[in-house]
Amino acid sequence: MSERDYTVEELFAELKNDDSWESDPELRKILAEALYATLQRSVG
Amino acid sequence: MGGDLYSRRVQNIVDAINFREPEKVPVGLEILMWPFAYKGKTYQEVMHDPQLAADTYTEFLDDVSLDYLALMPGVSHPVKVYQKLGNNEYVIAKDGVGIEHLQALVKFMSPEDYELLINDFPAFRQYMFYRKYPVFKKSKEEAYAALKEAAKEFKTYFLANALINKKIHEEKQIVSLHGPESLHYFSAFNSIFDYYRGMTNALADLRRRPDVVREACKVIRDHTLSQIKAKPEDYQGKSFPLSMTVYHSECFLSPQQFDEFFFKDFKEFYGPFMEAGVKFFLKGEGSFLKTIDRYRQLPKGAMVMMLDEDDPFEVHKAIGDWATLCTGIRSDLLKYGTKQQCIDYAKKCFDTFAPGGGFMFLQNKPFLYAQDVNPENVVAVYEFANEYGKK
Repeated sequence: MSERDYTVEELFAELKNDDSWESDPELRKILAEALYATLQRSVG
Repeated sequence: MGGDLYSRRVQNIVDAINFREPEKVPVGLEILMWPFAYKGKTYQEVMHDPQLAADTYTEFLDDVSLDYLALMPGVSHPVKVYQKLGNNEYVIAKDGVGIEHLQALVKFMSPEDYELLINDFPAFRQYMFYRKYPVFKKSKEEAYAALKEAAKEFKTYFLANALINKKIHEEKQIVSLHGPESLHYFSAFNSIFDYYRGMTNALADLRRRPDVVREACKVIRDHTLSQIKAKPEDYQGKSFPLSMTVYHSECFLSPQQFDEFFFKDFKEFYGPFMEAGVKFFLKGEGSFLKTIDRYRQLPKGAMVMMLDEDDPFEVHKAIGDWATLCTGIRSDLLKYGTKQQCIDYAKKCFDTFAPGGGFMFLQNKPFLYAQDVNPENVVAVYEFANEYGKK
């Protein structure tokens, strides 16, 4: 883990600004936030 | 949402859980993936198209009238999302409908990891996150590419569930028992049982290293407590929507263990909210008659219990005057019984439990797979329940 030069939170921040996977900015933000919450919840 | 039908349904639920006889006994269902199979389709066939998935899922509601749905309907897990992130714990079952959690594939913590859990819980959770999603151990470019693919899959899943919920709650005016303000209680031991150590290891740990489990539970419960921002005074007189708790490990625990690992914290955390009027829906799993008397320590009417394997007539004798019972038809009867046997059983439940309120009609096990129930029995029983439950 120590070799990683990024955090998961940074990846999600990038995802929110990346229109290559979803062009609607509002929906993109909702989806990115819901996905982040889903993954965090899945860990318990 | 609004609408007369919706308001009447809410009122009937509020009456039932407050031990008043409603105009109509609320009729509900707990569903997971079974609705996809109602007319012979599979989730696998329709999962690529959110609108098609939602239309397929809600088709059964044209034949089965419901006042409420227990828990969250819709697609239960974003299987493909997890897979894109390197996690294969969840799979679509062989019937193409159900979603299975394969605990044998889960990378649970080892006994040595209790030390990290106890000494640094945030670091432990992060450690578990990377175990679960190994893609985030890769280079930034690889991890981001996988995350983007996962996000595309998530969109399909998310929109399907949004459309399913819209159809259920807005078009069909079916009430959800829970809302954004609902409180949730999940015991510390269930976190170990479900997420960190798995069922088998967690129960073995209770025998082999009970003090370590106790210490771990204390850390988890302190974390949970620190997350509760709500205050009882904000919930004064708010008996609906219901708050929520669930049994997972509890049917495997002795009564003493149940007190220590479930009930003590539940009462301490949420007793003051129940004194203010909050009611909790208990999604019961397994048999729990042996500890049901504990709920008499909470205010009358604070609990709304979904039964599972216990005989509801025995439960009614034990606590029917104190807690609302959600029961009325057994899923095994819906699968193997005749229509008449199902209706006779449901009638006996109505005749016994409905007088005086404190009863909501519900099956005892969720419908998960295509073959879980005989759809003709479901239609017949729910037709009966919707008529017979009227005043």
